[in-house]
Amino acid sequence: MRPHILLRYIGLVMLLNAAFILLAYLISLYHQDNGQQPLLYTFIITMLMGIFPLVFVPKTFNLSNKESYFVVVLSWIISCFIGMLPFLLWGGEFTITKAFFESVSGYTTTGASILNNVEALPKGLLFWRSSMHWIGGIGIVVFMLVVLPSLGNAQMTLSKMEISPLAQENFKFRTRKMLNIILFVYIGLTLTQTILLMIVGMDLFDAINHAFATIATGGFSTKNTSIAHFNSLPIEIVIMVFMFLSGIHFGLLYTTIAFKKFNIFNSPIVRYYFFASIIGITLVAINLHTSTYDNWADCFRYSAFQVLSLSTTTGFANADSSVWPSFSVAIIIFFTIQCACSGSTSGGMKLDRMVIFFQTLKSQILKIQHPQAIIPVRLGKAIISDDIVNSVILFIVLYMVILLISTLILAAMGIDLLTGFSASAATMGNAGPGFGLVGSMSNFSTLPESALMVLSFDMLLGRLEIFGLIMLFLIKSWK
Amino acid sequence: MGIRLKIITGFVILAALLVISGLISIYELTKLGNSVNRLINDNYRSIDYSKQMAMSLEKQKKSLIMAINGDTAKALILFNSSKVEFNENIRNATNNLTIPGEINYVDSIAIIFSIYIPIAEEFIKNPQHNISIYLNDIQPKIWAIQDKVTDLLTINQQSLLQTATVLEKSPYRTILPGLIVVITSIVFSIIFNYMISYYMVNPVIKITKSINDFVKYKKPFEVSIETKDEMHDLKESVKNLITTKSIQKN
Repeated sequence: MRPHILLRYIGLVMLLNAAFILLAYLISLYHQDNGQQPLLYTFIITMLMGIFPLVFVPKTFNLSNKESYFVVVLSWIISCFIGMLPFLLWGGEFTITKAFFESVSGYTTTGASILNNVEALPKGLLFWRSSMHWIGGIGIVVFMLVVLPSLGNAQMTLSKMEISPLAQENFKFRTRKMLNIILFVYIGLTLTQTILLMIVGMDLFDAINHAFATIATGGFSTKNTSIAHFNSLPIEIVIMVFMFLSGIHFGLLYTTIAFKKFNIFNSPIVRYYFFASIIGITLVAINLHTSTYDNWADCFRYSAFQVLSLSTTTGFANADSSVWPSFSVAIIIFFTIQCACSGSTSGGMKLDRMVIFFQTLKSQILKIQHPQAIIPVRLGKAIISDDIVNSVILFIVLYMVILLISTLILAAMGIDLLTGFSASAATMGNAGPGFGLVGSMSNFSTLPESALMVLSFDMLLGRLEIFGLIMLFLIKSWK
Repeated sequence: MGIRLKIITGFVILAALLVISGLISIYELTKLGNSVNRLINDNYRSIDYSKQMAMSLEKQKKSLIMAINGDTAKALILFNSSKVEFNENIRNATNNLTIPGEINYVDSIAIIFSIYIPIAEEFIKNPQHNISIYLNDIQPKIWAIQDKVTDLLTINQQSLLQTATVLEKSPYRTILPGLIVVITSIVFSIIFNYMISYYMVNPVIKITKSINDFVKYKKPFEVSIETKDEMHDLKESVKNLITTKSIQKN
């Protein structure tokens, strides 16, 4: 392990953060709000700390896998610490734990907030919150790799560590090309959504912030009541479409746009994603019609938005789903755990793993029926290797175990089971709101600070797909 | 980049962090100082004016009772002096408005006082001292003024309490930004120290060891220096020297 090399790459990540903090500062300066000083101080500190390793450490393109893991994990953790500084320096509702929670929630694109009054934040800080989503959406290190064109072999090793292994399977391009595709789709979707939101009535500032939060599947809104504030069906439709698109593998979106072939549905994952969403929306709408809303249009409007919002791990809300009947709550929690496709900006378990899990189950049942037959696990036409199947099953088991432990810890702190479980699932899945005390129209401020620390850790575990963060805590891996 | 520039950069960054820390501390302490100033100078003064108004009113009540007892001359002197005192305090309170809505309280005190004064003066000067006038006309007005003065006192005390609560949290908020920069500076110092050690001290040790090995054991001079700075030049110079010497010897 070469710590100085890690410092150089982490320095680059800090400079990337500093650039966005500067942008937020300029917005604050333009609006003459009280976010200027916190943002300026954070910018100076981040920039100085980022530049320094570049002065000393010469360019190094060869990184070992272990070093790349450390660069990725440490970049996320250090970014979260940087991200909390503007909030902490600003004051208001933020304590150290709360500022850290807000920052982790921003970078991991969870969108869970501790703020009772979001609208009290100065515009510069609101932009910084959304920027954290946007930087974290495609991964902090991937962002750095995209921005910096010449990092040689380091580009490949770093991207291998940052991008979910399942997502890489679906990219059939060289590293540079893959990164360019991600950037192209990411910026393209953000710009298109910003323009569409402005057309349907949002102002520029809100449109940019909501586009950042949607495409990154984050969920931070500039309003206290999230999307419900606008009470506008066109705005909700635009956001729903882009939430759905942001949950699809970017490589598939690219080939559809670039080669003008509508081949999204060739992917079994996307087919499952689409039909699961339709079934989920319908079931919730029917359930709502029997209990909450009389009007079918309202039932489908609210169920579609909430199901898509949580299944893509965005976390926006157009209604208070915490008062919905238990059946709807159960379905939404299922989607919160399942999440969307790998290769997208969504977090959590990823739908691909669920599909592989179901295919493995099917294959096992067939094997019991035909003990002599060789029945491989298939995903469409492709055969999934045993290694991938094993890692997927291990990941799912580990994910559920951590979810259980987190729920138990929260229960030990006196938090009720629904709140504890849904908060753990929502933070592990980087979805945002849960149910109970942390419903879609409330926030996490009522939870004790120790619970916020546990949930911050859950968010990082979910974003770094568990193993990355665990490795950091194994001292043996430092050598 | 040369060693000198690298070291200067490190120290400049460290100095910049300390300057930021200092600036934040000065700014926060000034803010804290202003809050304390407001607390003492503004709220406390308003409370003091309210108390003095209440005392003047007590003197006027005493002068009215003296008048009822027949001591009209002394009563008039006391009444006039307390009237001047009261008016002066109203004027001071008007010039020291610190809370939104405070002006309404001061104005209503001034209005009721202006209605009360002629009746009270008339009562003292009149030798008959009709007690029913005192009970029905004067006393209710004194009570009304007393109520308004108490209200003025209360809102200023509440404001004082609010300011004190803000001040209670202020030290935490004042220390925090400076603390963040100090922690950053410490982390930076550790990294700086590591860099100096790795890129400057270690190469010198390596070169020294390799020279010693060459001199003692005739081991070839092989040192790897990652940077292209003065250390690299030094290594190359030593290498050239050894090569030249070896050639000369051969």
